[in-house]
Amino acid sequence: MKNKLRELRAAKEWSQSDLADKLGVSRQTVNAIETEKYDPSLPLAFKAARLFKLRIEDIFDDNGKP
Amino acid sequence: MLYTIFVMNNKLNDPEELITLNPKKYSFWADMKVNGWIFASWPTIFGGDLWLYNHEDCPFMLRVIIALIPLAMWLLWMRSVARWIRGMDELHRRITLDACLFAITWTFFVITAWQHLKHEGILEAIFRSSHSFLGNLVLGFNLAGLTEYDFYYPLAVTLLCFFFFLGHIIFNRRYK
Repeated sequence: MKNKLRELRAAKEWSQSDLADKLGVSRQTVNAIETEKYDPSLPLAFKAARLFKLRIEDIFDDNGKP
Repeated sequence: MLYTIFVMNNKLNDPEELITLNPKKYSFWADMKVNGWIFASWPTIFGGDLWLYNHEDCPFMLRVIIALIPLAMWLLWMRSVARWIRGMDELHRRITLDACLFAITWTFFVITAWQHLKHEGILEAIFRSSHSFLGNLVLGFNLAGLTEYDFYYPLAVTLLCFFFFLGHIIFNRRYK
């Protein structure tokens, strides 16, 4: 799943570790999401959306897959 | 102080503190927290065996209690492993559970394949060969009074540990 997590994080000048701490996950998880190797759970996606004050679909894009 | 306790309790469990070949990453205290009951069960089993060996006329109920103590410890170990997995972040939990499934399915496959090959007489041919390492090993065990049934439990545990470790490396790489 495509996502804008890296751009959003860079805009806030946070490191992966900073974002991981704010989301309550490991740095490896943030890295795996940013490199699109891992799709986050719904609670984590909501947490990220709330952190950046955006909607989930503004951060994550599933290319309209059903 | 409350904040400190909250932060300490909120620390995510890192599987690489236990499942690693790197001694710098390994944490003895994390290992004790997760596997402490297993380590404690070994001297209990050994001590129980020794005591029962020296007291053959001990009452049946006492024998049952001594036999059940390690089982209770293993249940407590299962609880600490479940808590350890629950305390991980979602990616690590997924990797660990995938590795568990990988270990269980491959162990089941190897033991089933072993049984099948034995039934077809292929293992027999290998073990009977005087030049094979396995043949000599089995012969040695047989001379010591052990049969193949004595190996199933240690074999299953060894395979589970090996495939869990292998699975963890494979699934960890997938997300790196």
